[in-house]
Amino acid sequence: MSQPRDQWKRVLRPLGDCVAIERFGEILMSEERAHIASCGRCHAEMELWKSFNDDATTPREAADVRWIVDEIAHRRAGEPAVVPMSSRKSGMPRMLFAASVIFVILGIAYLLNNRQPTMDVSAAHDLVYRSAGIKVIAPSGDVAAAPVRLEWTGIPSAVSYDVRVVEVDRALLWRVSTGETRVDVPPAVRAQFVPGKTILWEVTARREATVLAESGTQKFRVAVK
Amino acid sequence: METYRSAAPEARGALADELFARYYERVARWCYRFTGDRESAADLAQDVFLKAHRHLDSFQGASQFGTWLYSIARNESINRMKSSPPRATDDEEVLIDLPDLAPGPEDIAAYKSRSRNLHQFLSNTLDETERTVFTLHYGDDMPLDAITRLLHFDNASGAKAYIVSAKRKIARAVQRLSARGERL
Repeated sequence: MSQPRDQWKRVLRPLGDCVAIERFGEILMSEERAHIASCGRCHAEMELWKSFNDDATTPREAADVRWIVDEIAHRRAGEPAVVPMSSRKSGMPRMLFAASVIFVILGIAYLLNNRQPTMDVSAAHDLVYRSAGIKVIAPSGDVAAAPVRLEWTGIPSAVSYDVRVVEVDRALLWRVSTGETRVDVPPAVRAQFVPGKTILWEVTARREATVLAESGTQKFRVAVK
Repeated sequence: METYRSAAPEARGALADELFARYYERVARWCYRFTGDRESAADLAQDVFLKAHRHLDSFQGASQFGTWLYSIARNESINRMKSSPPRATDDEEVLIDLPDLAPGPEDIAAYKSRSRNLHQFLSNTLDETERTVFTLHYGDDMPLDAITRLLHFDNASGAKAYIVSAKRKIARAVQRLSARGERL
């Protein structure tokens, strides 16, 4: 690699106030939006993320993408199960234990050489301040029917509340901002609260761009009759 | 994801498979656009899901699951490309010189200030698309044909056209600076 190319590579690294990739897809603060618009690094990252998240498969690539999807499914079906660390049980047979030790050693070596992906391509952004949490009133847990309203306790000095309703994989169903401590759910959104499906929701209290408090993730599920 | 966390350990494998299956097409499409051929894309996608599966317990829900998976796909793609031998098209491209930068300052504060100035210089000199292509190609070593596919450039020479115009603009801006006795 040429020396100028190395120099430019260093220059093009994320700056300290660059927006972390994990923020993409969330409700961005005005400072973050302004930064992305003016920063070449963040703008490029956002374009790539959109390409992954929002694009549809084009007719020209459809056959190859279908082949790859089938291939992934086929290969994953044939993979030995990778058991997450928290799922492992004690008392395993000696051979399995020995295999696990080797796996762990290989895993450590792998991680040292190929570190776990971090969400942040930049330094941490320091715009969020949190204080007391928001308490959710309803809905929560199993409910008899699709809720018509979401309610929570207010935070003094909060000007607005951002509400997000998501599926269990955090795919967004609805988001809204309100000055009240409750919000009515539109019928089109309620229609997605089908019996047996767990729905998550979160409230963030703001004063302008400053986050004052968060509810944490709440969940409810319309009972199956 | 909440369902996965609250599930019994024995049930987690099936739930993880179901969760990942929702993203097969997105990951397949990304990998195909990145690599340009389906066999390499399938290998890359397999590695993405293997890594995601291994680290699924560490996903804290601070972002959307799809964004988390995207970050794995992005990093895995770039890491894999870095470990491959340079391709002919990239070698040819490197022959076009980039303007040399003046030696950077040693201390961190001065370095950050200089980086910020250079980012600002790029913003003032290049249009949005040129800046994006320049950042991905020279910042992440992303191949131009991958950028062309990922960002849907349908002009004849794809991302290469933007990198050529970006370099011309940078060279002209550097000349203007030199004429005023300044350096980049």
